[in-house]
Amino acid sequence: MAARLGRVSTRVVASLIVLVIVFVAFTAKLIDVQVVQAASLESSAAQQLEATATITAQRGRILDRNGNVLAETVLRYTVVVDQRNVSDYVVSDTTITVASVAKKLADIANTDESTVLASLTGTKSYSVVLEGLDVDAYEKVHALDVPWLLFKASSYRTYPSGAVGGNLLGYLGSDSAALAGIEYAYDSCLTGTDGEETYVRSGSTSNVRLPGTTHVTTQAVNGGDVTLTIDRDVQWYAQQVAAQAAKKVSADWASVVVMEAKTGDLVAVADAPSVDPSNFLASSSDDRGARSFQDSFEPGSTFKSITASSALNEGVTTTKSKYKVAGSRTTSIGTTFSDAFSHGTLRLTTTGILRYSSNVGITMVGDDMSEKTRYQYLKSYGIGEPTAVAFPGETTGTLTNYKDWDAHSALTEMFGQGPVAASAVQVTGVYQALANGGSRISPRLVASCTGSDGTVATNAQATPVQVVSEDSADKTISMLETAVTQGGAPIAAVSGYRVAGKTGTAQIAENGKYLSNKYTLSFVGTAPAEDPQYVVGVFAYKAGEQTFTFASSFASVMSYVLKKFDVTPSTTKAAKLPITW
Amino acid sequence: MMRLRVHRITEAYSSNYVLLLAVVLLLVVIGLVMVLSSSAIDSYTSSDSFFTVFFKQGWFALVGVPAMLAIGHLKVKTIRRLAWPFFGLMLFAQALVLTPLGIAVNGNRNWLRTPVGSVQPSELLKVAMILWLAAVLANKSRRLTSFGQICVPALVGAFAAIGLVLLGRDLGTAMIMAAALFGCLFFARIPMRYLLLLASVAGAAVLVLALASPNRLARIVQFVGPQCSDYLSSCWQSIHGTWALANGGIFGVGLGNSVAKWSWLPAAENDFIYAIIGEELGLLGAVTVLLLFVVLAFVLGRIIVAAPDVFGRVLVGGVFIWIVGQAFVNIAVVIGLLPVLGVPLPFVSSGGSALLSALVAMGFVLAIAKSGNAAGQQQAEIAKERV
Repeated sequence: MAARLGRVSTRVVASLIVLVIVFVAFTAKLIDVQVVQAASLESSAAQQLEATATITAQRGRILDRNGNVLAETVLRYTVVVDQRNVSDYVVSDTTITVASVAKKLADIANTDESTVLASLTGTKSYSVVLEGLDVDAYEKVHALDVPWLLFKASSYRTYPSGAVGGNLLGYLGSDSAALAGIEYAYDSCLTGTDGEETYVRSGSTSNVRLPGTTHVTTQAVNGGDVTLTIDRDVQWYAQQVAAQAAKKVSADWASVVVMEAKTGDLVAVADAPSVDPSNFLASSSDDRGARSFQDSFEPGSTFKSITASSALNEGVTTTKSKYKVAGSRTTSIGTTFSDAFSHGTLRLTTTGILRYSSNVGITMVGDDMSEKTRYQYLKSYGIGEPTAVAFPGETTGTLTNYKDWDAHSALTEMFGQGPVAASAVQVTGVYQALANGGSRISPRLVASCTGSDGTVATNAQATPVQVVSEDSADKTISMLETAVTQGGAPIAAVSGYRVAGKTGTAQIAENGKYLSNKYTLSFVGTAPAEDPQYVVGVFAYKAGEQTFTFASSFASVMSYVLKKFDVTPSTTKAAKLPITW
Repeated sequence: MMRLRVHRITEAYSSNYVLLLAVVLLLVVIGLVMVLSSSAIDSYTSSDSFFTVFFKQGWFALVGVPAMLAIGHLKVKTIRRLAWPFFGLMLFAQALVLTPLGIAVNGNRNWLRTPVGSVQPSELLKVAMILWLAAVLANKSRRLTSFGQICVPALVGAFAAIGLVLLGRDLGTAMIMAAALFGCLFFARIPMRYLLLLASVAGAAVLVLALASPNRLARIVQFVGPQCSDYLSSCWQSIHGTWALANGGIFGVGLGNSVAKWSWLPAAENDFIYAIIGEELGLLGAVTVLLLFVVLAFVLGRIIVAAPDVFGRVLVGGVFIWIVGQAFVNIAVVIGLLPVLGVPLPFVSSGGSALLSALVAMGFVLAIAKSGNAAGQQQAEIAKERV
């Protein structure tokens, strides 16, 4: 029963048969994995291998009426290091020292070398070396090819025109949330919708995005552009004037409002002090807003135009109606108020009352209207209501119901003191109505929102409100023109143009008492008087002096605006209405 | 002169010789391309160069291919004389692995630190063992019906070699060596009953060794289990291997476009290079490589049949079972038909020692092929031996 040796060829053939069977089995398995089950395996693989990333939508721009950029979002770069990795290194046999890198970085970013060096030295795993680098500077730093420098790109809000319009634009917080102004009010227009993309990442901890694997699942929609009615140049000029005016009369603050007479569009709304939106923390919190919208004050004599136009409209007076105006008036409850200058009884027309800005006189003009009528006119002129702008934090001003007026305030209301207070924009809006034939158009600051797809959502102008008849309005403008030309405020004149306007020197109440040496100075007017195009209001709050020269600020701005917009100079002369009788 | 040489070449080199050389060189080239592709990322993250692993592999190929051709030119007699010293030397080298000169990688102590870098003596030990078995079994070619004659010295020597590898805890290599031993005995024509006996002993040994190591057991348990639940540890490699294959589909994602190689698939350029082939070159590439090994097997089979003596038959038979067996085991692991065993794909996987020893083995086979062809006309002698 000795074992026998096998046959070689049999064994070879047997092995090869087994091999072919195995080959067929393996091929079947490969087909199963790579074809039959491929889709389901790939989808479970995707759960582990794929990652999603947010495509950040870019915030829209804020533009002036001519498309000049006032605010935009750009890419900025931050240079960071893990300080533990910072060391001298060798490039083709040359040792590059940390100090020499610090010097190069400081040169590029134009910063202090020692600060840069300090940010490189230590044991922190995350240290910011340079911040807010623009693309040019980033490329220079990148070209240094320093092995331990890391870069982060981030969106950065810039205000290319600097502080121009800063009071209106508002600003973003460090988390890019809109905190104030147009940025805040029009956040939904400016903010885009972030998109999403998926990509296949590498394993391990490096999490590299594999080339060619990125797929956008949701396209990012960039934010829209907000176009303002503001003109950047006028705004800049108005800001200069406001700042100078505030300084000249030692005021806490000053505002300049420029409005289109026929549309109510705001051309400039300047405040001083103003905020630089890219560095808003440098301004005190009181100065970060737009006082023209947000602060109200007792307007004073500029409101005499409301009383005069209402009385004309009610037919209780004419431009030439005659009044014997005493130096002071005692009310039925025994209180007294007087004119700003002492005088005996003057024989003034309604025009003269405006020319001399007589408090006593204007109460005589308005006395023949009921308190309710006067209240309703104030309301129609937009006092006590927010404007159509709906600026964040906008004040409504104050308009106490006439039923709550006492015998004193019922009279002082007629010259803008007591139960009334208004913002600079509201006061300027009164004169827009007068300049526009009695048709008040609540002001507009934002013209449109242009979506990133080009669709324009126009922010329509407010519906006009006929406050007084065209005749009453025109007559009031004529009286105000006389007031300027006949010596009331000659300094407000603009050469080549007929100007109508009114001064205001209001007292300021604090804790129920009027301050003795602080005034709200103002001048609001329009030009050309024969066909008003622009309304300009200048205001200074808590001015340390009572001066009519303040109207020169008005003249500066009005002159600039008329020339800037090529307004045809006046060819006719001002009507000369009688002042006295 | 030139014409004369060309004439001599066509005369001396058989179709088996040319076909074998072509298949081997093709596999080596595919290997180099795939090693470059699959190792680039991990090579960069660990050494800042995409080519570190590739260049190393390239150097071994540059040394290995001429070495294979040179060995192929040796006389069979010379090779046979080398069997004892070569085997002795490699046994010694493998024993050194167990001394402080050895290095353990992933729990397997099978690396030796040398002045020219780390080498894996077990790879050359495989070749040496097959060569030695061929020599000793050829000496006893007429007495192989006796189990005692088979045992001494063939089984004793082979067990010593396998035992040394097992002491280094490298079960994968040990199993391949056991298979090679089986191949040598199989083609030495020893009776079937002894082969079955040895096979069952080997099977039992594998079972015991597998159960003895928690790491091995985990691999096997996760393989047997219905659904791999432990994604993060024991299933990671096989799952990512399967995902890579699935990602490849029929035509592949294209050379260089593998996702798995981006630090997902461990040993992507090594034990799992077949997954990268399947991913980048698709089902077509994967089946082509599989087919190349089948062609290799057929050529080796023809060389065995044409071999002039027992020495040649056993030598080529051992190499056949080793190379083809290891290739199919490697592929079976990647496509999920076997648990993860840690054996590389011959000629293709990255690994200098493995490539070199496979090429040396092919050198031996080429020498046999040449002698087989030279003896091709002497059909009578072969017929006499078959009786």
